[in-house]
Amino acid sequence: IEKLNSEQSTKVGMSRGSVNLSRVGENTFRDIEKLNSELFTLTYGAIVAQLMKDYEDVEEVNNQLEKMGHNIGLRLIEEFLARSNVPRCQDFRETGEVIAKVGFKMFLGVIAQVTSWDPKKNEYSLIIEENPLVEFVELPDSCNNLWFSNVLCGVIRGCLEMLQLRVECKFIKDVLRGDDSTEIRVTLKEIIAEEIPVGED
Amino acid sequence: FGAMRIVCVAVVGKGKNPLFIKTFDSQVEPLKFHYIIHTSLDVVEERTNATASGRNLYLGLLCPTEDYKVYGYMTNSKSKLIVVVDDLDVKEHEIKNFFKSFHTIFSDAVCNPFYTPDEKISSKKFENEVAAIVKQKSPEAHNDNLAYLSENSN
Repeated sequence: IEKLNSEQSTKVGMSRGSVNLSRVGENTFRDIEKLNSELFTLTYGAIVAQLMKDYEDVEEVNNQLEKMGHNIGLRLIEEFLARSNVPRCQDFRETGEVIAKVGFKMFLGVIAQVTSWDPKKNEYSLIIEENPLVEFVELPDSCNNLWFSNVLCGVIRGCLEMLQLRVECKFIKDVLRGDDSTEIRVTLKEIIAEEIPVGED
Repeated sequence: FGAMRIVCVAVVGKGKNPLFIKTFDSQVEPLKFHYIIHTSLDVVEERTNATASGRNLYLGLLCPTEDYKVYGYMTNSKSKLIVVVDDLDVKEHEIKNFFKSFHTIFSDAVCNPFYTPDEKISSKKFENEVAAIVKQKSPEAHNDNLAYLSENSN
């Protein structure tokens, strides 16, 4: 194994890692408390519909959903780390695998795929095959620019922020809008340096 | 060969307000069906006022007209589902099954957070799903099925 070149060992590591992560995701999901999915879907839908009524501006609603998600993410990360016991990620791409196979599984009951990894820009895409938030939902024509599930972008941003990673997270495609898939693009902007407390070196 | 032919389905709100009407017989003026449905709503009112508790959702045959039979189904939230069929060999259990599917599709559409209950249903998805179950139950009811028109005498 030591003789594999770095690219190969990354691949082996990734594939071994992905298999493990899927199992971690499933195990954690199996043991975690569950909620009726219709209640969850209807609650989220009600929030989005209410935001549309209150703000009337689609961009503003997108913003609010992302902010809500951010607040959730800042707190959710503790639960995630406590329950899932995943090892530290070696690189930014791995954060995608952990989010997709463990995070999504734990909290949404479905996994996502990590694709389109760009090492130069430190970006990857998360493709969500089945999004539980959008069951029963049909976007009216007035909401064509709404990213209905934008809360997810905020959650990812909030979680990674607590891990010292400042990311930009946004929807590229959404089946609700007639696209062929649901895709979130995650870009690493900055590794947040830890602040050294005053008085220590 | 006497399969039932669904010629019209409708959803009516808590009062007598139609929320959705779809006809499957291009030969007939749609207004005729609107009138038939409206008339049948009086029967629904009579039937549902009569019984106190333990009411079945399925209301059965509401009123036969000269060409059609009208069946009704009222949900607990007073939404009414109406089905108009051609007066051929109609099997009750098939109508009941149809209403079950129709009710499921309807409640899925109501779950859309952007839909306000008791308003007109404008969902394309709902319309397509309804058309699909109608086609399933009465294969010759397809609007554009020219083959049916030529076999009319059968």
